[in-house]
Amino acid sequence: MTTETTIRDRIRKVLAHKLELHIENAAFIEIGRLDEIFGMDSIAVIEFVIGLEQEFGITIPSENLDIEILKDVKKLEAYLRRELNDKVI
Amino acid sequence: MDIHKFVKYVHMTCNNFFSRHNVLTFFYLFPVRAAATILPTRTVRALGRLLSHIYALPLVAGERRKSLEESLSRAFRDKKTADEIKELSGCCIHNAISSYIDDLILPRIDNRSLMTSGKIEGMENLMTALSGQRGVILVSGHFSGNRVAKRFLRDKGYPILSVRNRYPSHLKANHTEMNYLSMKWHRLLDVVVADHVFTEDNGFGLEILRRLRENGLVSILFDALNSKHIIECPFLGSTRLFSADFLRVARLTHASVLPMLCIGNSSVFTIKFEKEVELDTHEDMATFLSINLRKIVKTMESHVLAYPTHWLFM
Repeated sequence: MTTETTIRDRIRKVLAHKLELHIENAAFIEIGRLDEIFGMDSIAVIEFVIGLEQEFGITIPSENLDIEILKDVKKLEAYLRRELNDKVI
Repeated sequence: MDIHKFVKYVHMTCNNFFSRHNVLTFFYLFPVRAAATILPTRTVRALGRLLSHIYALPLVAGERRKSLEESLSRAFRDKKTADEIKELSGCCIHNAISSYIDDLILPRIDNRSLMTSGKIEGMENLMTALSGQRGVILVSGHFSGNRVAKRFLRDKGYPILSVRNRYPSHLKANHTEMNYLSMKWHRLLDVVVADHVFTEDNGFGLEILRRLRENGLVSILFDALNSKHIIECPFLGSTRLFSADFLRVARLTHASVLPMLCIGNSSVFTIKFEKEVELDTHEDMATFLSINLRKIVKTMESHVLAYPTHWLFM
């Protein structure tokens, strides 16, 4: 079963593998907004999106390539949970 | 306080708020632009030619012409005579002013007259790249016909997403330019380059990704410093800094990279698509960027040497 915690762990894994950003779970919850760790490097956002797609085995459609979803940990978790549920169905 | 130091301080302070470049930009953005909205486009072009003759006078653009002649001499080494270099420097100024005049009249030029003014070379290269369904990154330098070419291609059914800087990247930009004139300038360009993203915006990478995934075209002017990764490459007898982040995007998205050249102005212009660049694959990102960027810089160098007066950064 995919829980929010495991989704969060997998997001952390993408950040660690793709962007070499190693963030402890506690710190990750505190950060909340991913754009704070991306800084101004928007190409890193592309790397992050492609990493998420590979990790979760999904394709994020154009209309959902939205910085508002990607920069907010909670919104991103909710989005990925929905995508994974749809995939199972 | 020492009087010389005081004079220097006053001069620097004044220059920080009010320079000759600011005056020329102001003149262009207000009276010339206002005239361009009411006068027929032919008259505006004629006015532009007149202004370019005035601006090209050594008395008015002495410093600019001197720096152009130095760059041209360095680029061509001993292959051009002093007279030829002088003539080329004058042409550089004429072409630059034509390009600025185009920015004022492009929104008013109708589609039909634009279609008869432009031609495309190497369209098959663009078609081949598009057939890969991975999106295409069009890489070019700041050449005279860039904006008219984008409008032309958009009208032909090939819209291009332009990646732009919101603020001037040149180091000479003073307070007035950064905080006032550049905003006015961008409002003008927003109309001309209808389809764009700013590198300063947080989500610009996603816009690029979206366009490439829709098998669209994204234009990168890699001679402007708008990138996190900047690499120094041999260029025109010297070295120059080039932006390399578009290669990171190409590596991530597998998009095709196509060098593009656009020369001329809205009266007559040519767009040339080169063959897709075969990117060397390297595990190490720094090596990947360096090797492939040098390859693309070489193509651009050949463009500049073939059309030196059309490169606006000469």
